[in-house]
Amino acid sequence: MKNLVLFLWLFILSFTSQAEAELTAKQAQQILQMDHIELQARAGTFEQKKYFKVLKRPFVSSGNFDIKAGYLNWQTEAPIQSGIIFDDGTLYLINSKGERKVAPQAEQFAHLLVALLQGDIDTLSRTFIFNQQSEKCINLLPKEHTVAQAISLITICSQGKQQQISLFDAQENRTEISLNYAL
Amino acid sequence: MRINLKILGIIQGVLAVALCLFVLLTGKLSLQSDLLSLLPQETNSQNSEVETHFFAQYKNNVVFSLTGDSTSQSHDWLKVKLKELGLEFETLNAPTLTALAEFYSQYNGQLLSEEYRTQLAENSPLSPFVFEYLSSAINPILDPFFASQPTLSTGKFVESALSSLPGALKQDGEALYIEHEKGRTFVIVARLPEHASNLLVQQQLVGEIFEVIEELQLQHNIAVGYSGIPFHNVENAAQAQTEMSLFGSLSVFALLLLVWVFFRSLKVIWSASLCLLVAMSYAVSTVAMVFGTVHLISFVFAITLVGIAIDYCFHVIVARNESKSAQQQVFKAIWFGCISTLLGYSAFAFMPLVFLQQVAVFVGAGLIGSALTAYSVLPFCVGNVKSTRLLEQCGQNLNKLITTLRKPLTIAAVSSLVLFSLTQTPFQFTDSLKLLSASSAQLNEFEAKHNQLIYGDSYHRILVTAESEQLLLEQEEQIIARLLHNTDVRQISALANWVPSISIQKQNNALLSDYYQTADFVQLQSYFHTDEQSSSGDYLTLEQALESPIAPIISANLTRINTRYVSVITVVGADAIEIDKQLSNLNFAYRIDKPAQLSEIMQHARENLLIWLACAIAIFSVILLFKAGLKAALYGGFSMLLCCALALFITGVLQGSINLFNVLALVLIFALAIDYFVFYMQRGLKPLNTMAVTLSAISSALVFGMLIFSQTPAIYSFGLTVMVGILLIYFLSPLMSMRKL
Repeated sequence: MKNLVLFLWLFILSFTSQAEAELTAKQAQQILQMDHIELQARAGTFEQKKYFKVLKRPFVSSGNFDIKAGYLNWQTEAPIQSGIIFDDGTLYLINSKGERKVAPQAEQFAHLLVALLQGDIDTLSRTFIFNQQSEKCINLLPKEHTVAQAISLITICSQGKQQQISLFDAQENRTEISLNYAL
Repeated sequence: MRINLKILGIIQGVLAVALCLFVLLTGKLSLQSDLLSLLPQETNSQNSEVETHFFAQYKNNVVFSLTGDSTSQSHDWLKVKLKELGLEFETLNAPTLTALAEFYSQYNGQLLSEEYRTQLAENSPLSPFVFEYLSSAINPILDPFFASQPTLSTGKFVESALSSLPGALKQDGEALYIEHEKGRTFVIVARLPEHASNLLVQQQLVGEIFEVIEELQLQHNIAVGYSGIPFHNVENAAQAQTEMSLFGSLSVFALLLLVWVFFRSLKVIWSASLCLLVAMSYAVSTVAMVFGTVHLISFVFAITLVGIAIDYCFHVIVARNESKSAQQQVFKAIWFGCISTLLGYSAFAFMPLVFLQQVAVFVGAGLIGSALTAYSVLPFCVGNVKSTRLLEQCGQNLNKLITTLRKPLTIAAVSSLVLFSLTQTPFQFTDSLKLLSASSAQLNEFEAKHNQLIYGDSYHRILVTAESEQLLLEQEEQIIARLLHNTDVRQISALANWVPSISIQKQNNALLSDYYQTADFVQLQSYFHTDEQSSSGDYLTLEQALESPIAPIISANLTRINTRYVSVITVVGADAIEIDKQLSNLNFAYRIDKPAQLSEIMQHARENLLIWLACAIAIFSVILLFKAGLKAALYGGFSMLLCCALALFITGVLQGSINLFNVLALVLIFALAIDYFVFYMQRGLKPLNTMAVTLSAISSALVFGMLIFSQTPAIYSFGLTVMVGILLIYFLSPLMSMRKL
C-alpha cells in the first residue's frame, strides 16, 4: 500500500513537471508543427472575439491580414473599417476615417504582434517562456514586467492552415483570434 | 635709501612667497574644471537664473550605452558595479499604466485628447473610437481604462499624453533600452554622488568607472559608450593639468636657457628665477584671495605671466652697467610698461567669461610682483654684469639690420595687408562654446549618440514663465495650439499634456455632457454593463498632479523661482525658425538655444573689444600728437593698426576663422607694443636697449608660442595671435620710435 502511494505520488509529480516544464523554442515549434516551416509571407483572414467583463456580449470583428518579414498589415473590415500597419519598425494606426497616425509608444507590442502572427517562435522566446498546454497548444508566459502589465498569458493552438491565439490580460479579459491562412 | 629699498624689496618678496605657501598648504586655493562654470554670463539675469536651474540638474549626470553580445547581463553587471561606486540611477519615471488609470479615472469627464475634443466639437459620433479599440488585438494603454469608462475619453487623453513623451527609450523593470533591428541597446542614466562635484573626487570616480568599463569589455564583446558633463570635466582637467605643467616647465626652462646663452652667469639665472618666483607668488596668493576657486583653464592662460614678467629682469640686467640716469630711465620705462600691460589685461576682467577675470587678476598681480622685485631687489642680486660685449655686439648688428630694413619692412607689412585684404574672402567669425572645450572626438561622438538615443532627432526646448500655475498651463496650451496649427511639429511634450488648465477642463466637461444626451451615446451604452455618467466636477490641478504617480514626469520640467512658475516644453520635428516665428510676439516664452545665446554673448564681447581697441589706438595717437606732433601720431597710430590688422589677418589665414580669443590677443599685443615703444622712446636705439627688447620679445614669443600646442581651441587661438603679433611689434615698434619725439 505504501509503495502504491509512493508510486502514485511519483507518477503525479512526473506528470505535473512534464506538463509545466519549460519548452525550448524548438520544442514549441514542434508542438505547433512549425518546425518544418520557414518564416515566410503569410496572408489570410481573421476573426477576433473580445470577451471583456464590461461587455454585455462578446465583441466580434473580422478582416484580413498580410504579413511579411518585419511588416504587418492588419485590416479590420467589420464592424468598422480600421487597421494597423507595422512597417520599418514603426506602428501606424488607421482610424475609421482612413487617417493614419504613428503610435510611438507601441513598438514593443507591435514587434510581439508581428512575431505572434508570423509564428516567429525564436523572437517570442526573448519575451516569453513556453510550456505545453495540450497536444497542439502551448502557453506563453511573459518574462518582462512591461509585457505582463498588458498580457498575462497567451495560448497558441495550431492545426493545419488554422491557428487560434488567445490573449489574457491582468483583468481576466480574453481576446480570441482565429487566423485562416490563404498562403 | 638704497638699503631701505633693498630691505623693503626682500620683505615684500618673502611675504609674497610665504603667503603663497600658506595658500597652497592650507588648501585656500581650490581648482575646478567644471565646464558649466566656463559658460559666459548672460545679461538677462532672470533667464540666466532659470536656465542655470535646469542645467544644474544635469551637472552630475552620466549616461552609458551598451551594444553587442550579452547586453542584458552586461547591463545588470555594470549597474551593480556602478552602484558599488556610489552612483544613483534614474529611470524613465513612467508610472505603471494601472497607476495612471487609477489616478486619471478620478477626473473622468474633464480630460480629453485633442482628437477626441475635435470629434465632439464637430458633433461626430464617438462609437468609432470604441470599435477601433475593440477591434485591435492588443492595446496595453487603453485596456486599464476600458472597464471603468468604455467611451475611453480619459484613456485616449492618457494615450495622447504618453505618446508625447520624447525619445525612443523604453523601460523594462529597472532597465532602459532602445529596440532596433539588431537587438537592444541598453542605456543607463546615472548620477554621480553630490560629493563628486569636487574635482579630485570626480577624477578618481571617473577613473574607477573607466576601470569597470574596461573589465566589462574584456569579459564580453560589447561596445560601451559614456557621456555626461563629469566625463568632459575630467578630460578637460587632465588636458589642462598636462598643458599647465608642460608649458609652464618648458617656458621656465627655455627662458633660463635664453638667459644662460646671453649672460653666462649663474647669478643672473638665480636673479631671474627669484623674480619669476615672486611674480608667481603674488599671482597665486592674489587669485586665491579674490576667487578661492580657480578654473584650470585660467592657469593655462596664466602661464603667459612667465613670458612677460621676465621682461623687466632683462631690462634691469642689461642696463646694470650703465649710468645711474640710464638705470632710472629703465625703471621709469618698467613702471610705464607695467601699467600699460596691466591696462591691457584689465580688458580681460570686463569679459563675460569668469575665467578670463581670473587670468587678469593672476597676471596683473604677478606683473606688479615682478616689477617691484625688478625695481627693488634685482639690481642688488645681479650686482655688476661682467660681460655685456656679446649683448652689445648683437645689439649693434640688430640696429644696423633694423635701419636697413626700415623701409622694406614697412612696405612689406603694408603690401601684405593690402594683399590679404584683396585676396582673402571676409573672415568667418566662430565664437562658440566649443572653443573652451578640449574634449576628445570620441567623447563628443558618444554625447551626440546618447542625445539622439534619449531625445530622438532634432528637438527644441521652449521656456515658459507665468505668475500662476493656471496661467502657466494656459500659456502652454496657447503655444501648443500655435505649433500644431502652424508648424510641422511631430511631437510636443508639455505639462499641459498631462494637466490641462481648468478652463480647458471646463470646456471638455461641457462637450462631454452634451454628448451624453446623444443617440450615439445611448446606442454605445447598450454594449456595456457600466452606466457612464457626466462627471462630478472635480478638476485636476497642478498641485494634485505633483502629489500623484505622474509627479516624476512633470516635476522634471517644472520649477518655481520666487513667485514665478517656470516650465519647459520639448518640441520634436519643427524647425527652429518656425518655432521662433510662433513665439515672436509672446513675451512669456522663448526657445532655449544655449549655444546660440552664448555665442551671441561672445560675439558681442568680441565686437566691444574691437571698439575698445580702436578707441585705445585713437587715445594712443592723441597722446603722441600732443607729445610729438602730427607726424609721430599718424605714424604711431598707423603702425599700431598695421600690427593688429596683420596679426589678425595672418591668424585668420592660419585658423580659417577668427574668434573672441584672437581679438583678446590683440589687446595684449597693443599693451606689449606700448611696452616696447616706451623703451625705445626712453632709451632710443641703444644696442643694449635693442637687446633687452629683443630678449623680451623672444621670451614672450616663446611662452605665448607654446600655447599653440594646446588642445583647447581658445588657448591655441590666443597664443597664435599673440605670438604673431609680438613678432610684428618687435619689428615695427623701433620703426615707430625712430621718429624724433
